[in-house]
Amino acid sequence: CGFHLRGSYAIPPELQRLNVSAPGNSALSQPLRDALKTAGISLDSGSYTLTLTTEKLTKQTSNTDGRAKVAEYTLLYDVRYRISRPDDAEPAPEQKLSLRRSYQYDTTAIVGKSEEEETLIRELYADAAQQILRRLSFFKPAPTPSSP
Amino acid sequence: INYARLGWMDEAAIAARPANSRPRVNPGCRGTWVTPIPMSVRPGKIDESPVEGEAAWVYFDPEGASKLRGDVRISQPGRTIQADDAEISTGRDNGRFTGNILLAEPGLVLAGKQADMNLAGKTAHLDSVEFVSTLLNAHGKATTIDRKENGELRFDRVEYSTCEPDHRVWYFSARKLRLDPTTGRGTVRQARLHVGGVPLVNIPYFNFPIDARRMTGLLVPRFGSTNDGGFDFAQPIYFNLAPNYDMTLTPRLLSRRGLMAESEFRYLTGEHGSGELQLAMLPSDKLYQNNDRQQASWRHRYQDGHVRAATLVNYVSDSAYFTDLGTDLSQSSATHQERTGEVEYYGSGWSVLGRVQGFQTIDPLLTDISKPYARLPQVLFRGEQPLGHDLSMRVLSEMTRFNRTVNDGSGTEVNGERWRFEPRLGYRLQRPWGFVAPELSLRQLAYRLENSPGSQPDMINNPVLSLDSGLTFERDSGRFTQTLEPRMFYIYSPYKDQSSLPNFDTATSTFSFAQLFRSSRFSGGDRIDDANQVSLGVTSRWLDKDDGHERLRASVGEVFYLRDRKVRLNATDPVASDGTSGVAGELALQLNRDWSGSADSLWTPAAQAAQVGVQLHYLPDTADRLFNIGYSYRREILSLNQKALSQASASLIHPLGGSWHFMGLMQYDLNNNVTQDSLAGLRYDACCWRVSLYRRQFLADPDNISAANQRRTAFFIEITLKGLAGISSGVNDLLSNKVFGYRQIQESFRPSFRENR
Repeated sequence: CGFHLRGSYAIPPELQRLNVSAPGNSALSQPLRDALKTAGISLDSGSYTLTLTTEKLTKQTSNTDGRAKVAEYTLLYDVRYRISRPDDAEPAPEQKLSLRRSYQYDTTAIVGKSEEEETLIRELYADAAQQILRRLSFFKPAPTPSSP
Repeated sequence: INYARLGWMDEAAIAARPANSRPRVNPGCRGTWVTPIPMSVRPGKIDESPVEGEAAWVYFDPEGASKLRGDVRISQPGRTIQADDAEISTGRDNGRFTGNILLAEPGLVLAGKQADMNLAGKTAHLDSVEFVSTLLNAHGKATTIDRKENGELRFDRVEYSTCEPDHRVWYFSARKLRLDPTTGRGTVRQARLHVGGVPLVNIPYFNFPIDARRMTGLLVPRFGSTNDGGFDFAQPIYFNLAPNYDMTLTPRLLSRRGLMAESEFRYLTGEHGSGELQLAMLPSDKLYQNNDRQQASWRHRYQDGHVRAATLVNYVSDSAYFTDLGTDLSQSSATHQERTGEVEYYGSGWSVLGRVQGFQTIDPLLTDISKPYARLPQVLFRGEQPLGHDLSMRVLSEMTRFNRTVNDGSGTEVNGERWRFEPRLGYRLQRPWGFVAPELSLRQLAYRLENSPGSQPDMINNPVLSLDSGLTFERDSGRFTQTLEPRMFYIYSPYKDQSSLPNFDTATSTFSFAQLFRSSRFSGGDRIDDANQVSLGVTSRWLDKDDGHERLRASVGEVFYLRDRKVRLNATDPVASDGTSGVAGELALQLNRDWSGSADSLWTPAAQAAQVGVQLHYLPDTADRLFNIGYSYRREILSLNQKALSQASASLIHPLGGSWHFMGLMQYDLNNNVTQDSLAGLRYDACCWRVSLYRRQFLADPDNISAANQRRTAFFIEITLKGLAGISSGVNDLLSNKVFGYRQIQESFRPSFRENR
């Protein structure tokens, strides 16, 4: 049916060396660096920089029970980042990534449920890192500005 | 006043322009300000650049002042000045301009009769001035304007409005106005607000944001009524106390209950982190036996290179507080108030967390035995050490003291300490085409209990062996690269009797596709799984070749159990003996930039639907509308600790034309056939003001209300004078918490801080 084993991560040569820049309190920075390293990208070198601009994790009550008490929470994770070169005249467009996970709540086991929430948050970070990595292999560099 | 000279472009003038050079118009406005020099121009260093001047008549004295007469035009980088006459001092530092002055700078136009300016800097003094600021979308006039070297503008006897100049619905006149770009605020003294030309109210002092730095709810009053509290009026007052802390104080009147005060204090310190403190108080609530009602919340965060610390302290005076006085269902649906203090230290490859945590239970139906344990304290160590050759060692070690008082006879009080020690040795071979990751761990668990119901349990030692593996296939299918990712996960762990162990902090994890590949069915530390099972799953992704975005992800999988699961959370739970978990599936869809959706399902081994969830979201780039719809179904399944639920929800924001928007929200419980929450509202956006009116009905917990009716109805009106208040308001906060995508819409309705071109 046309499927074949993936032979390589197919990271474009421009990005095989990459700087990663993130605010000091970034939670995604470490999982992302780990994922990039595993894919054979050498970090903190090269002319391109991946900048994590914003990370927002919010929690919404997505379902309530018959007594209007929480029955389910949904975690929404929004990441924005850009891939740019220092000589870019205009900042590269911001890329957006949105992920969500839901879990059933139990008002009689709230500490255990907060442990489950921590597991989901870790999985959200790992998933976001994988999605960014996957997008990198489709990255098309902007045409080089003609410099004298 | 000739507004076109100052840069006003009405609809006709905009329409006359070619489509690609039309300026952006704020929602509800019939025109916009276009200054000769756009906001985006960054002026060069004025003292290093030439001053170019022209006039009908020029007298240039190389030793002294130069005189220019008739149609004077001075150009500098980022500044042009026109006037009838001008006199430029020796050294070209200062200029005096007279007659028909028009001064243009990035985003700013000032027109006046006389001006003295420093051509090398920013200081200026103008008399009888009209002004326009595109940054503030504001215009007005003043007897004098003084500008300081730091860019601060001081106005005397000023009129100020953000309305269209030919349609000034409101303006304020004031004795003094100061716009300070370093603090990002405008301050006003001795002001009078005029609406429709009628002076409405005198205000001795207020301030307002002049950039996006502070968007706190300032001066957006809320008028309304609720079916339990009666007339409800709230007026937030914003105090900009210092650049690094501020406060919002909200007096609120509930006619049938009394007068209450709500406050929020936010702070940011250089070295000690940041936080918020919230306090609210309603003395002697007439509908609550004249008892005082209070609520408090303090949150603090700190982080540096190695240390993270956080505190969270919540308190309410009574369990009905949020249903009676909260304005948000997500507050009233809470059952607990958390108090936590934690410090975490990160070394290289290890971290240690210390935490104290307790809870206030505010659900009167929860008996003591169902309340959470306090952790006093918890100490958690985590370490990870690569050993080379794709091998790594991980360690988790925890000591926690759990405490809970049971004095309502609902069970036996069991308190004590718990130790956990879990070393793991893992190997992970990761290649583009797949991975294989065996892991051996040893889970150790020990307790020292007080008032133990049975005999003191020994230490439990249990090895866990797991093997995770997956392959990644790819194929080309037109616009997409499609992947096929089969995954197999095997886990083995012998059975150890844990029926006499307490449950301090453990819950059953929600069953889902992701759960198939986790090494425990519990969240928390009190149970060690007995397992001999294989999970098989497959995920397929459609990746857009343009940008690598995942357009569709579909997963399906199942656990095959090779033994019964005798380890249970509670001794009364049934032993799970099914041979399979049933089929779990998951779907995530990102059709294009506008449409997205997700679905999940679980089918029992008997092929009954155990979980079904579907969500669809529409959020176009225009950000003036959205639409969400969702449905969740859950069958009661004791072995998964899953309760029955069937709920549908929808939310909609849609333009109705003519600056009107509809806002709607609905949450319906199909099991009990009741609407849990519904909101319908209208918003009208004029150029310089906005009105929102909405009606909300929600279900209050019948076991947790002080007033007679369970169905709470509220009607509210909010009026915003744009440019004077932040965008935060009651209905905004409400929808932000409940409607996916509302924040993006909200941002696009903020008065434009973008330049006009």
